[in-house]
Amino acid sequence: MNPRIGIIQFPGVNCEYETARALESVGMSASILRWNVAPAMIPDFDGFVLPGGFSYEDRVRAGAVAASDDVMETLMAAAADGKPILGICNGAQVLIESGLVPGLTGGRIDLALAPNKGMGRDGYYSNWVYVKVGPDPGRSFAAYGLKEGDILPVPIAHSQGRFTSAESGLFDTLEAESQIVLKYCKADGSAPGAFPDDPNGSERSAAAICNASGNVVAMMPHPERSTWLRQVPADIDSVWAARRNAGLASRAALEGEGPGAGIFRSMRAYIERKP
Amino acid sequence: MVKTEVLVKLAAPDPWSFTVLDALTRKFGFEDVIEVQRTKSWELTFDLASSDAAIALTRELLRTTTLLANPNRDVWTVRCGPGDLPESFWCSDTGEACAFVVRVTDSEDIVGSSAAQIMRSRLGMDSVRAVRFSTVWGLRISRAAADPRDLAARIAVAKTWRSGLLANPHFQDATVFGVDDYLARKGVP
Repeated sequence: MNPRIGIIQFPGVNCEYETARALESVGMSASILRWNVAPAMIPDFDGFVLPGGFSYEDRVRAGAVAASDDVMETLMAAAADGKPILGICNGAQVLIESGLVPGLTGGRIDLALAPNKGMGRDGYYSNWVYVKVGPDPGRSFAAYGLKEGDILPVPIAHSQGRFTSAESGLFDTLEAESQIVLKYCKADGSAPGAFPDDPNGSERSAAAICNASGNVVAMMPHPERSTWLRQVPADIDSVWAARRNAGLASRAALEGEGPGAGIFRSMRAYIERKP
Repeated sequence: MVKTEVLVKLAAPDPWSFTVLDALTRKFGFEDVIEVQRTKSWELTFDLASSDAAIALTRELLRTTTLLANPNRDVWTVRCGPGDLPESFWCSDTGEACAFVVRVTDSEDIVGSSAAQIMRSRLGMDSVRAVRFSTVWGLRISRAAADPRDLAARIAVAKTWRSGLLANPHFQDATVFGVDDYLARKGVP
């Protein structure tokens, strides 16, 4: 039986349907659930995804209000059971604001996704960027099927995506424990330097961070927007663009897997490897 | 240096405030919270000799641009020094409830510094030295609460799940004032 994934639709999210299609494209089944469904009515899913968007219109702070919804108790229980939970963009902000990521100190909120900096202005930034898979990719479900150093072109679209913390040494711990799953990089995989390769000023160039158990991942880029080759821009400096351009003559080729599919394939492999 | 403060509110009822009130009372269980209001605060620092000149320049900025407020959407007031503000801008102390102000500012105030840059580079306002942007929350809390000020302080900062809401301490600073203290500009450096 295919893994069954629940997608939580908070009011204001807008990526739930493409996220469902991306999950289904790698052989999982996806069900979209409203945020206020009674906990007893939530099926026994194998994992969850919190999709991107603007839950509660980003009121107060991106993700802050959704993080206090009752459905988070179901997600916390699932996380404690070792089930994979992926937060994409606004979903990542919800996971950070709930304390599920990095989840080092029992319910404490140890991180923030702060407003972007480094652009020379405040506000929203949307573009394709490159991310590199960190060490020990099997550490988290999101990179379970990927290799250290893999470079993925993926889109970002956010105004509050800067991983940061006031806790001294926290990022040293996250780095040492291989909890920084993805880092922003240049097209060749080298350190990003300044904007735009580093799109938001994240500590350690972090693009995705997992909890201590590796089963909850907060990811700012949108893998569901790069799941198929047809979504990859023609003009980016990547083997993925070369594949996409080579496939232009064939609709079937363009429907082939893009770089983001690896994240969802990893999620499926992680679920299926569990006893 | 002279400072002015522009306080901006939505002309219509503020859905953000309703969302916060709903979250605090229904999700966090803080049933002693009676009212929430939200105001944007722009603190402008000018290299000018007189407060009259600073207020005039601030009003000119509000009249000719929508950088700080939009007249189709917002109402605002300008002050320069201690003093009362229109009551509509604040939750007030009453017999049954006491009011607090929670000012939340990003530690790295990118909104404020961007606004200052625009004022200088695009609007030619060379006398602008700094701009600080804050969200100022008004909370009215029942006197039946065991410790209303402590409750306001808990609401101000999100430390653990469902413990607080208005500021994430990893990138924001939150300061809690009594309303009178804020009006007396004790909260304004």
